[in-house]
Amino acid sequence: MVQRVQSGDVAAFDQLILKYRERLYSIIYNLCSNREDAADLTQETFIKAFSSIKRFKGKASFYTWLYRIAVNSTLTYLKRNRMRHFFSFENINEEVSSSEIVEALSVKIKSEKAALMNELQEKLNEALQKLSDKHRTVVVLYEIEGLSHQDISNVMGCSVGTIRSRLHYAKQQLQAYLKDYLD
Amino acid sequence: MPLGNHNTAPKISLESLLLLKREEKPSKEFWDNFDRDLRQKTLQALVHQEPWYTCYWHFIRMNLYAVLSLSTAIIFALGLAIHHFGWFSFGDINNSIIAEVSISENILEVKPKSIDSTALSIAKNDPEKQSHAFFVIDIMPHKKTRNENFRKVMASQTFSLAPAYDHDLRFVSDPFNNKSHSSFHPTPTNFSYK
Repeated sequence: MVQRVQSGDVAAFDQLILKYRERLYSIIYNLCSNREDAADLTQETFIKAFSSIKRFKGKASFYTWLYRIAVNSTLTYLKRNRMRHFFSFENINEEVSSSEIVEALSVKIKSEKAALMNELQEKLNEALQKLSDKHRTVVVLYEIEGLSHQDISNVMGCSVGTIRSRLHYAKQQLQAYLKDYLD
Repeated sequence: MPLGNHNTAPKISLESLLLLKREEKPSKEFWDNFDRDLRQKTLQALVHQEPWYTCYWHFIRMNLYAVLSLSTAIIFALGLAIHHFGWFSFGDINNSIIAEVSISENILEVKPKSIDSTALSIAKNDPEKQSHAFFVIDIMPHKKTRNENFRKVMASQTFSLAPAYDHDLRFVSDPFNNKSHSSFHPTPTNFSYK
């Protein structure tokens, strides 16, 4: 598909967008915590990728290359707009949440559960925003997006050891910020 | 629930809490708008041709430190080359001193007048002569014979009056009027002024 785009097939690029847009958006959204900015940055990432896809030589996997563009664009954006969106978090749709947290919360009455979930979500977002951009990126890519250490090192352009170290430190920080809510 | 009431809240692991972020998914309507905007932006990107310098600008942005270092090195090397080969004399410009020189039978009197930012080298093609060539950019004839006032430009407080060229008795020239003037001192003579 990538080769088709490189040879000028615009329709093939639409398929690439469909394939990667949700994961790309999720990464960017969890880094910047703002839905509109995340949408803009995701679109910008696709346009950048489209403009420079002929330079993609296939040395790394395509999604690594794409994620790298997304992460770099987002980190650059965050540097320029450091304080602007600090408190503009989005509310999740409670109905689609089906993780362990929902089960744990199910012992409570319904209204209390919703309040607790919002509180937890808010605290988690606050804690994530307190991390440095690089530490937050590692947490997002590993814990939320499920990338391997190796893939993250390719995306961020640093060693696997550095990624492990950043992840360890970031989780320590998050544990400290959220100690009242965690095991 | 108030934030302070943490003791009654169920405890979970950090990993489970982070997995909650996966559930923050946009609606179908969001993706419809997203696709429409992206299609529009992609078309704009296709229509809009980037100017020729964009690729160079991207290269500079990506290699900012390397470009800065290289630029500094080139400027430094150019400065050295210009100074070494005498293409331009910084000293003449920065330190030129205008003096008034009065010459009579055997007396040469020099009086500093002011600092100027211009200077002219007479023997600019011959480095050996340059030490003698820091002066005289203008000559003002005096009423008395063999007594002329010189407006001199010098790079240092010590200067020498000597022929600028071999077998040439001239040691002064007047670049503004394209005139030459005969030498009063064929033998090099050093003078200094205070």
